[in-house]
Formats: sequence, C-alpha cells, structure tokens
Amino acid sequence: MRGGLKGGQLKILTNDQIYDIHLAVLKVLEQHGIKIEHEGALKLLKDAGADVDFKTKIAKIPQYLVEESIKKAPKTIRLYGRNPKYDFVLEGLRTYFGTGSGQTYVLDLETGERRRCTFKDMEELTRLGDALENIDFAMGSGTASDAPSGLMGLYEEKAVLLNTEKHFVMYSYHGAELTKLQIKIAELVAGGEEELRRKPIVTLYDEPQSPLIFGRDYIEALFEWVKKGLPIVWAPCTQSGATAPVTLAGSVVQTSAESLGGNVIIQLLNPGTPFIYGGVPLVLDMKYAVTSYTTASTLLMAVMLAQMSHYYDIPLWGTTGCTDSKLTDAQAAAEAALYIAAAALSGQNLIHDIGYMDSGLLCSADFIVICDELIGMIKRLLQGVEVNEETLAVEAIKEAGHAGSYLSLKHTRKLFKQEHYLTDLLSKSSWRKWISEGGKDLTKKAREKARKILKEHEVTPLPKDVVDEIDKVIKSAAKEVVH
Amino acid sequence: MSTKEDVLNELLKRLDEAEPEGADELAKELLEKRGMSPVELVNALSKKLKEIGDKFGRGEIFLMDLVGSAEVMNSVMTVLRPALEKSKEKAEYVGTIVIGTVEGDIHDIGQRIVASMLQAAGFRVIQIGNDQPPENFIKAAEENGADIIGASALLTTTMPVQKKLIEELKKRGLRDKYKVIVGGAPTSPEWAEEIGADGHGADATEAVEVAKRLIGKG
Repeated sequence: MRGGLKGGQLKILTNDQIYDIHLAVLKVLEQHGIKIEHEGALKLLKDAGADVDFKTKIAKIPQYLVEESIKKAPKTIRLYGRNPKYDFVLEGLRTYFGTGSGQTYVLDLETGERRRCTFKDMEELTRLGDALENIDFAMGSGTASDAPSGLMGLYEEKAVLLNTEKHFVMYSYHGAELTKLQIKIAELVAGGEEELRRKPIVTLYDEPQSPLIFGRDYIEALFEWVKKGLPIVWAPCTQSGATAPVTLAGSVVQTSAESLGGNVIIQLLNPGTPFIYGGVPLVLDMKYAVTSYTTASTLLMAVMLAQMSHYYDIPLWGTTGCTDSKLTDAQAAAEAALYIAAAALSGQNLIHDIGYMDSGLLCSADFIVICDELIGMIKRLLQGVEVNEETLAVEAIKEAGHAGSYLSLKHTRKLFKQEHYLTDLLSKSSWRKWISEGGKDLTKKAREKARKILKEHEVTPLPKDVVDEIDKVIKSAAKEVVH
Repeated sequence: MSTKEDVLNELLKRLDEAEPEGADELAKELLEKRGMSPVELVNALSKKLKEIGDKFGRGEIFLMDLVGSAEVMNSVMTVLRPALEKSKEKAEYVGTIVIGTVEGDIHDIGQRIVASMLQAAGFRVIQIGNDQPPENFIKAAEENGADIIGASALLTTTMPVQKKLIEELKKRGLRDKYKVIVGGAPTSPEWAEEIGADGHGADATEAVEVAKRLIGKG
C-alpha cells in the first residue's frame, strides 16, 4: 500500500468563484444539455427525469440529478496493483503520479531518433515506470503501431499487464465488443470476475468529445465497464479557444459539465461506481494551430479543476509531466517541473501523462526518468516542515557553539535524511568531479539510468496459463477483425 | 569476559557510528589494561577511518558521518598522543600535514572538512584552527615534522596571507622543506602558481588527491 502525499497548498480560486463555476456547470447541463449518441443512455436519463429530445439526441439534465449523482460517487477509492504493495487510496488531497498513453512516436533510447512507437516500446516504457520510485500507476505509454488497428486496445492491455505490477489506467479504444474483451483479459489477470470487482487492478479512462458530445462507442464502453462496477475516469480533453471557450473559467465550466454529465449516467447505471472526475485542460496555440499541453493557462486550469474536485469531494483525474518540446531538452525539464509543481501543490489525485511530449504525440524513456526525479523533489515540498523542539534546534545551536560546526553533531546525523531530500540525477557535485564522471548533462544521465533499469529490472511474470489465455482472447479477436 | 578484540571492536564501532560517548575510556582500557601498544591502536583506528573515507567516496555515507567519525578519532587521539610520544615505534601515516585558515579569516568549516577527509585518507593532521599568521603554520610544521602545510583563505582580502606564508618560508630558508597547498573558494590553480605554492585544492576531495600526489603517494 502506497501513501500519497497531500497537496492543496496552492489555490487560485476563492470559495465564491468555485461556487460561481459550479452554478455555471449546472446551467450548461440543464439549459443547454449534452448530445448523446446512445439510445440506452438517453432512455436512462429520460426515465430519471431529464428533458430528452430523441431526435436531436440532446439530454438536458436537471440540477437535482447532477447533485444526486455527485453524492452517489465515492469520496474515497482504493485502486489495486497486481502486487498489493502498489495499492493506493484516492481521496481528498492525496497525490499519485502515472504515465500517459497514446503517443504515436517515441524517441529511440539508443539512437535518439524519432520513430513510430511499437508494442515493444510500450512494454519497455511500462517496465521502466514499474521500476521508477515516484511512478504510482501505469498507462500504456505510446501506441502499438505494429498491432492491427482494431486490436490496439488489447495489445496495450497485454503490454501493460505483463510489464508492471502497479495499477493500470487503461485507455478506452471504445466500443462494446472491445471493452468486453478488455474486461475479460483484466478478469484473467485478477483471477475472476468477482476478484476484479473487489480488487480492481484496472481503471478505464473513457472520454466525451468536446464540446458536449458523448460518442456512441465511448458510451458503449462506459456501459460495459460500469455494469461491472469498475472504476472509471470520464474526462474530456478540451482545447481552450477551439473545442472549449477561450476563457479559462469557461473552459473549466465546460470540462466540468462534460465530466459530471457522464457521472450522472454512471451513477444511474450502477450507483456507487468509483468515478474519477476531471479533464485534460489544453489550449489551441493560435500562432501554430497546434495543441499546447504546457502553458501558463493549462497550469491555471489544472489548479482550478483541482479546487473544483475538492469542492465536489470526488477524486480528480489530473495531468502533469508534459512538455511541448520535441526532445528532452531544457524546455522539457522546465515545463515538466512547473507542471508537476502545479499538479502536486494543487492537490490533484490520479495524475497522469508523465512523459508526454510534442503536443501529446511523442514519448521517451529519458523524459519519464527526468519527471520521476522532479516528482521526488516536489514530494519533499509536499511533506512540508516539522516545527518542534528538536527541529527548532536551540540545543544544537548551543552545542555547535560560536563559530562552531554542525557537521559533527548527532543532531545533524539524526535529522539529515528527514529534512533534506537528495536527488539522484541532478548534478550537485563539484565541477571537477562532474568532469571526471564524463561531464554529462541531465538528458544523458537520464538515458543511462533508463538503459540500466531496462537491463536490470524484472517484473514478476504472470502465470504462463494466464498469458496463454490472454493470447487466445487476442487471437480470436483478430479473426473477427479480419472477417 | 571481554577480550582485547572485543574492546577494540567496540571502539571501532564508536568510530563507525560517529559516537564519541565512551570512546576515550575504551582507548584507555586498551592501552592500560589490555596491553595494546599505542602504535598498534593508532594503526587500527586509521585503517577503520580509511574504510569510512572510502564509503564516503562511494557515496554510501554522507559528509556528516565522515566528519563525525573523524571527530571521534580526534577525541581518542588526545588520549593516545602522550602515549605515542613516549613510544619508540612510529605509527604508519601516509604523511603529516599542518592545516589551518589564514590570519584575518575566521572561516573554519572548509579546512575542517579537508582535515577530516585527510585523516580518512591516512594522514596525520595537525589542525591549528582559523585566524592563524604564517609563523604559526611554520611553528606547527617544525614541531610535528610535517610534510605539507595547507592554508585556507575564504576571502579575497585574506588570500595575500597565503602568499605571505610562502615568503616567510623562503625567508627562513624552509621553502624546500615543506610542500604548500592552498585552498578556499576564491583561490584557483592560477593563484597557486602565481604565489609559488605547490598545489591547489578546489574542493576537499581534490585537496586530498593533491596532498597524496605531492608526497608521492597519489
């Protein structure tokens, strides 16, 4: 069981502003509604009291339904790893970090070349995340471009479940049939349907399309997953200025409306299903017509969403550890550091996308390693300071004496590790030592660490019969896809 | 009944854990009741301190652990020194170095760290403290039969005292008798060369390497 450190020190919204945003969310859902391309969901909402137009497929959701569904969503959610030492509890201000999924390209760890991401890359990046101390959960880093397109979701699931013992947040490649197979594989690994329900080792990351559309395939996936009572993220990727209002407050209102609108369906379908609220608040760069992950605006929206989630008391799907840089350079490290600090200090909970580069198109092992290093440092920030007789150190000050030294005091040896966090890769040595060790910059050191981990780190393998069963599921699915 | 080895191990453990409590008594017991010769004891302690220094070099322990161990060694040495002076045998040191901060400069911590690391590297270290005029460095070197004099200056305004030290050695006809190492934040290899010093340590680790090299042990 892992303990998540508490954030929440950073706030930008007043209580009054939080309430204004909430009222705006209720107005959007009740007056404007959501277009839902799924008959079953529309019926469900209609029966519960929503104003549904089956022709336009727009459901206008009354305030009381939104409020009731917020109440039904669990305030504390335990997520499981296939190794219990990686279990953790999402709640309140506790922060956890994980990788991101779906990038098309990868920076080759040996050559540095930008190339298409493969199944093998996904396996390696997952194993890397399994080894890194500050990564709490896994997503399918990258995309299996060498897998048949209809089966990418299954290949991702296999790559991750075989290569980490940590909790898996699985991207929904949508549709009822695929989701059923994804559940089947998760049940194989968990040891059965009941075992998976009691100890969910997988959370589904499913999403609405902005502005305000719930696509059929995505709701189908949601239905299959929620019927089983398994934890689900329902969070949009909004682009301020393009698929969401250009204003930050407006973007947060729409993101919230889309996410909470999904929760109404989730809680009607299966009350008490663990729902993770939030969104990935992005902006469209108006100079280059490209999505930006890391700007001052995305950081502000991330903090706002964290405050909204604390107001609703529902765990948040957070985003961090991203850069718009095309390589692991100074920009990448600077953007990641700022974003990780904002995510952690604002008290986001299930924080994904560690290692996202180039507008979400690129991943690399060295960047993930650098983010891990930064998270370690920021965790020390979250720990804060202890102020007591021992740490106030009046006795130690006297003991050292005027012009004395603290180096040889017992006080120093006893409390050093509690007070000071030592980084692994960031250069802290003298110039001479740095030169004698090859004069390497951070990226080079991160690459070497990644290579070392991939060479040495082993993940407890799944039993052979389970792997065989997984392969059978994929094989039979492949036949259907071909036909 | 505890044996001589038990008591010695107990003392070495104090060194390892940087625990000064009772270390003097254990040393006294070894000398007076367990028939251990002072040289034998110094060699055992130096060997242990060297191990601790190596651990620091490998990043297995931290600076305050090393300095703490060196301080235990110092406190034991106050007991051992009189016995050593009477003894006919000689302890096995890599070399002897006098170290201090120059006159007008009360910065202390740098030369203390260097002193600890030199001890851990097997040197006999004579620490004369801070605010020391050139004659005190020379007096300590003469009295202790030193090989090296190490002078630290942390201020640009006190750096000239390092130069004065070398001039003073020359004046007394002792320049060739001692190797001189200078160090401290504002100093540089260029400065060392300019004033005619034999070596420069940019940081504590380098100071130890230079010291070893100057006496042909590096």
